[in-house]
Amino acid sequence: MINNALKHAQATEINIQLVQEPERVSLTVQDNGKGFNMNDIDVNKSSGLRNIRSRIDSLGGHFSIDSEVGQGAEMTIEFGVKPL
Amino acid sequence: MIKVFIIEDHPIVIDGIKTLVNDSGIAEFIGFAKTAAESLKLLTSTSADVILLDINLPDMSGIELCKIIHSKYPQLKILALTTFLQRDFVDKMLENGAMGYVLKNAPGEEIIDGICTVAEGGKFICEAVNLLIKKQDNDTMFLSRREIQILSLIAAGDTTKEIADKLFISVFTVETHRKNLLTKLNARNMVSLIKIAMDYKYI
Repeated sequence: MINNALKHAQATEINIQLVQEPERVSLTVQDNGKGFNMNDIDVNKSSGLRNIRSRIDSLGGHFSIDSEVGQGAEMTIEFGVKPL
Repeated sequence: MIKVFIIEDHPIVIDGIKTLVNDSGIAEFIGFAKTAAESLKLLTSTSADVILLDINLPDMSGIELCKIIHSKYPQLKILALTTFLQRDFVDKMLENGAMGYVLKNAPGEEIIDGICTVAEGGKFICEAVNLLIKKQDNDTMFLSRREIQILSLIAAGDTTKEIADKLFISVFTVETHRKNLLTKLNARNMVSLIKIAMDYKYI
């Protein structure tokens, strides 16, 4: 995700935040890059996003993405954590 | 009377604390040590309740000494008294068993307040340090664009389903953001979440 922000979005700032709770972990990556129109993105066709999504799916996580042209992009991943 | 012992290498500070404590009417100054080694000798027979501990001592760091005193005499309540307004020192002292942290330039009443609070078993952090911690916590935390959008909609009274419909996202995604917001802003419920968000001017 960071690679995407640097390579494709020409972001100069990337915020990464991990929220950890006993039963869940959530990771947010937000950049200030050029952003994109959500309607132009087909997660199943874009190989980078498809790769991210399939890896998250295989681990039982949830993935969401939000962007607007000129507004940067924001991706959030959430996983449930099973107690050991 | 709360019995107070100070570990401090500057005579002027020892004298000032002695006067402050004895004039308070609720505490009594019972002694001092100017080095860590001296303090460890004197503490073997002390009747102190509260130890005021400097960080910058000539023979050992007060942070290290704090750990030693706390493990040897767990009944003693240690209150750090220092000039260092530094978050890492505060964290280290509390980690090593101190019950409180007060700056030497704090008003006298605040130092006495700290002595009383730790004597009763409470934790005490002086106002200046509290402000520093609050500011740093706020500086290192960011809310994303989406989180602020969702926060505003929650404040406007929208339900999770309504927010999901308005933003064209799934209910599950709204829930993820909502849970993250509660954790990030350290809010217990939605009412306190909105209050904190307004205090920090996020909405």
